[in-house]
Amino acid sequence: MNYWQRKLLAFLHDPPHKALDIPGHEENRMTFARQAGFTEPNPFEWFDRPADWWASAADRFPAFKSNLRSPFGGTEHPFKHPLGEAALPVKEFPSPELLGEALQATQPGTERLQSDITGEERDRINFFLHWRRWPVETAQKEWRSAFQPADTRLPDHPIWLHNSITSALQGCGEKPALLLLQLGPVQDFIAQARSTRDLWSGSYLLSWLICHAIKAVTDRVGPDSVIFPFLRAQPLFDLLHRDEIYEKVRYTENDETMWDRLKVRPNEIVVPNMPNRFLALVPADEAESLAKEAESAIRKELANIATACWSWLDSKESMNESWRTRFDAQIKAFPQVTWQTLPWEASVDKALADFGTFGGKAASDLEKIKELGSPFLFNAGFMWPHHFAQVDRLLAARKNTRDFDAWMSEDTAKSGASKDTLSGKEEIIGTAKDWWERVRSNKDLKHLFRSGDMLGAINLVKRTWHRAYLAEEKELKAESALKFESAPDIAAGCWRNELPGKIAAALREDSRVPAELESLLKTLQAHAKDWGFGAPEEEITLQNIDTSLTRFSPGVFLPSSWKEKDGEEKAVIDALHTFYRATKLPKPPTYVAVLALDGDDMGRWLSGEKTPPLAEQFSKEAREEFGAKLEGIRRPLSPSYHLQFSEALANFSLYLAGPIVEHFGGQLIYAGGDDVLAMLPAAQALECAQALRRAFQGKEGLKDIYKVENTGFVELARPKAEQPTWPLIVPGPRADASCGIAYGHIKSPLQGLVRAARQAEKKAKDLRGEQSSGHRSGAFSLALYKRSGEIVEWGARWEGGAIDLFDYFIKEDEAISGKFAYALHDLLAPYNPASASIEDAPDFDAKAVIDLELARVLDRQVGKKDVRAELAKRANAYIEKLSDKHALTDLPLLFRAATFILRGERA
Amino acid sequence: MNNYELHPLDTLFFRDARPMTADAGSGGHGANWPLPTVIHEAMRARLLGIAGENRSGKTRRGHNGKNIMTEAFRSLRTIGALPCKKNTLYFPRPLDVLPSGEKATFLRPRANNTGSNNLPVKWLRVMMPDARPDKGTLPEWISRDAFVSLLQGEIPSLAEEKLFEKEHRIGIGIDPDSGSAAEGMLYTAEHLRLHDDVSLWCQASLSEIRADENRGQTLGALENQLVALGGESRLVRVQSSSVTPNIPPPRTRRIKWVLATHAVFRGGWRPNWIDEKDGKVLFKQGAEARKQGESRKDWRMRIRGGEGNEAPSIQARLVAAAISKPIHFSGWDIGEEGAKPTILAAPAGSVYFFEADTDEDAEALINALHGRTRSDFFGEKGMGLGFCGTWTDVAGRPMTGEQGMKEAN
Repeated sequence: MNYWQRKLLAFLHDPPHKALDIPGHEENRMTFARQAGFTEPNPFEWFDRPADWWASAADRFPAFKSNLRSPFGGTEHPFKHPLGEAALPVKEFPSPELLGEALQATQPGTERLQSDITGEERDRINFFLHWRRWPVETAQKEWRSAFQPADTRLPDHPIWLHNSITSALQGCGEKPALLLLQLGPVQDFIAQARSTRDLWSGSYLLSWLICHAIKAVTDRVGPDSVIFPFLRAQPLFDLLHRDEIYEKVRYTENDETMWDRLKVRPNEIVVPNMPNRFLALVPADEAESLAKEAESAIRKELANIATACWSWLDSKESMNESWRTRFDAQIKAFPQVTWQTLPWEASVDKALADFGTFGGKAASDLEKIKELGSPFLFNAGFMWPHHFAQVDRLLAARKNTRDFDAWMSEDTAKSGASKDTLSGKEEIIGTAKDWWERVRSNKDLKHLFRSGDMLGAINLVKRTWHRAYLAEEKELKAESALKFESAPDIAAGCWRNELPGKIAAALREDSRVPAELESLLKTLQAHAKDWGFGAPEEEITLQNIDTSLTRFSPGVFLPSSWKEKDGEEKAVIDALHTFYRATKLPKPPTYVAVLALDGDDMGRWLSGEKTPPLAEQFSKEAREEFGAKLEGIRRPLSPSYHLQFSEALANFSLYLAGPIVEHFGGQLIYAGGDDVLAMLPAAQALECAQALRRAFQGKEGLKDIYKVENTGFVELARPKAEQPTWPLIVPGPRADASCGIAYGHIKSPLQGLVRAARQAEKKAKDLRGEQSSGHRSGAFSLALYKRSGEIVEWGARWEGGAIDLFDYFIKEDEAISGKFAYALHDLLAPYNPASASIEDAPDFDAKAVIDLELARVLDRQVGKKDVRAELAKRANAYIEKLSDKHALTDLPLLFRAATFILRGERA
Repeated sequence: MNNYELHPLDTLFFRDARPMTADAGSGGHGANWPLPTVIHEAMRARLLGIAGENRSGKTRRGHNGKNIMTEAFRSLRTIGALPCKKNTLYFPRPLDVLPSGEKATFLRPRANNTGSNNLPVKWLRVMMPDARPDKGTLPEWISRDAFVSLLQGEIPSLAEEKLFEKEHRIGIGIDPDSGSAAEGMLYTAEHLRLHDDVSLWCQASLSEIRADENRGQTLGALENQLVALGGESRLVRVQSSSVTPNIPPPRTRRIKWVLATHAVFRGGWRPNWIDEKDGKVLFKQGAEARKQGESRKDWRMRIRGGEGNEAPSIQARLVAAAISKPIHFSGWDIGEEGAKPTILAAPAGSVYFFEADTDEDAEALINALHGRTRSDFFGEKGMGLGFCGTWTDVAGRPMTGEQGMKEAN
């Protein structure tokens, strides 16, 4: 019995429907073992029971007695959300046989596997397919299978995860260890960008590299060993197994491979959604070599990518071999990889004593739980919170020494060399006045590089690897999958989509419009291709104007899009100006927003500081038995909690973040776990942020993207083939997210906008406050960078009444004068002390002053009475929760921000 | 060394190598604190100006093939700049202090590494905080008194004190052909605006031995002069100062060396005077500053050893290092008419933890490091200025006297 066979037996040791048929579970598991290819009379003899004991002690409550029973299913006995305060009432099964049949029908086998794959490799693939496909295919047939609990008394984790953790521990032999690896730098590296494609490329390169590191580990010890990120159905992880596994499983009946059946879409593969670190459960005696292998995989893959980029560029515009030393040295200096391994402490007492020195409440909770049961029930698995906390703090300790090599002293040509224009750090590859000028005019390269670009090796890779490596060597066409939009395209996207309606309206008033438009579109069409813009192929006529319009890149309607440093297209600019003058149609907006959304307190969630009360996760019967004894004790961290937390984040980023951003006309740049970075039209950004937050919490939101029957679990409204059709767990109502949005002109430096969005996100985190429930409410913060140089910053908590007021102000824009915000600002500004040393008079009533001044401005600047009344009501609700000082400053800022977002520079 | 304060007349501009043009994607990043080399070069340039030596095109080839503009004032040594507010010096916050709740917490080297990790050398230990750090922020610059407290192993109140601001400025691109504003070519730049009562403190000295190179000028010529500092030739007025760092050296065998300015080491993060094999300090006893009349070669021999130098080595070793991401810097080489090579420096605030075998070794190491510039490069320009303090183990023991002897043995 080899390593993979024993792991598979561990994975099969509990049948997935055990909760429905505990007495029959031994017989049921034999059925699945036979179907998996085991012919021995009792194959489970080869499975190490300690793996099950460790997994059970890690995930469950070891003090339960065997005579304490709970049913599962229905509203009385729901599946509990692992983050708490949410539950999924899984309808009871009529009989275990029904689910047993579904499981048998979907259990993978090796009969479709290519016959030339034999021996241990065949067993490895068999295990992989059981881990990857069985839970998914069963859920597709019968969604309730996805939520069958491992223990009905503590129904907050599915049995699939228990089996997966058991097989991971089986692979660890006698001594498990944790391996935590992290890749960096992330934000600085991604922010070195000049376009949305640059932003994507940096993010995706990091995702790509960490995925290779993970694969180096999973190839040796199995995909079940990775605790986070959640890997099942992860598109990029699937892609890395396309050739070695999925393409080798054939369905002869319709000449398909498993890869064909998986229907992994390119636009899902190319979304950067891997976090920059992973945690794996590995054998202690192999932990260090696995860590080294993972690090080496990152460096090898980056070297492969770099070589492909060099060769590709060389084929387009000849490169001098003497530049190669510098190129290779710069590639070698990236990225920073840090890792830490930690063998599990076998003695529970020793681990508890150590945990007591730094674990705080989590440690004392474990002590109390341990007192409730017999000592023999508690093994090293029970100390998962200690193992995780210890490896986490050791990695943090490792990262305190940011080692680096002196830089490339052997490169004698550095003196006089220009620096990378995106990073300002590395010497450029190539010669500034010769090679780079040729690159920027080369027909195959000029659309990848813009005026002034001169890059070092790593930014050269970022700029070209999607073509040189992903498209040429991996057959992954990111550009067609993602359609990278420029800032002007995003700013003008919604405007272009609304254009047909506006034209129809204009037509009714002015018959010259069609002729002017036809002339403009023909001019645009004639020049668009040379400038790299999208344009319709067909001849534009009055009859097809509406459809032709939508085929133009939205940015073509902005005169500033046709101006570059090296020249301009005067005929087009004149045509655009003439059109806007003649038709009086509003010009497209020229401001975009960069949105940075980040889950709140993710470190605290991950470290177990925010896990729900343990008794609340129990079934009714278990709560009755133990509730009083567990007062104040939180659910201890467990591997299944970590897996589900990661799965919830993956579901949000894989299935929800992208469609939501697209719904608002934006471009998703990054969606990894709790972190979203996107570019959006200015007017839609805050609404998009709210929609993202609702999806993150599993609350009702955009109905054409997802629906919610039970908070914390979402169902895709229109799942594509192979996408989940069952309720998906998302972080849920106890989690929250904060958001920073930076608004800037389409010509604003992109690095500056991304940095400003990140800074705004940090400010939003500072605005968070306690809610009555004891949770901290998330917040948002806006930073508006006007072209005049003025910066307006405003933020508020999501739940503080600010959004209600903001949305109403935007909605009733037509009834409100454009001067409203400034009139209020001018009236309230004198009440703000110019210096901190000036104190308010003791009887100064700021809110009474605001009432009076607001009423005055409402009277003069708002046309409709009912709008005046509603604005006053909502404004009062907003400032009621603010301090006097903040009320005086924040209320006018809210209106100024809204006015600017509505009107742009006209504000 | 003479002490000076440089008082800016307006904003200052110290940018990196990223372009500032409107569509460059990067924007201006000019609100950085000036590098020590910038201070050195500005003062030397002014001295050359006073001596009438800054004529363009006058170069000769140096021994390494590089163009040398002039020999004058090559003996100039500078230290700084550090912020100075109302006669109080400010130092970069040491990186062994992390935010934790209301206060802060120290990082301390662990006795042994647990599990395995990929620290660059096996002998290096990880550091762990006393209390759990959080995402709070600590000030980038701290007062001299707070700096001294931290060196002595105490955590004072670390309130943020604003010394300067980043000021966003919108600039207009100029069309080189017409000399007028280029349409649509606005750019943003960040400038550094020091608060009114804040100056740049620095020290400078000139070698008396090489006075003949200096055209009869001394540092006194700088008094009240306007000096162009950094980008856009922004001006500062030079004034003598009575402020000195005055940091007391510790008495301990557990020595931490905190960088007050960035340091360029041949080994990247690792000073060249640390043996890569075992972390041993390679200085000889008596490794102090260059003596009057001592050649650089003799001085190196004296402090680092070599044939004919039988002085005993300082018995001490590096055990841990708190370092954040490196600083990349270069500059403009007038002789080469191009950018200088990019160099990586360990950032100011980095902390190197040492253990010495005996009190004598500890004293010798402190003498070699405290208040000196120990960068492998650009030490004469003020890189690698560091001060010594003490650190304690996890149990809070500082390793001094008899107890320290026992532990070391």
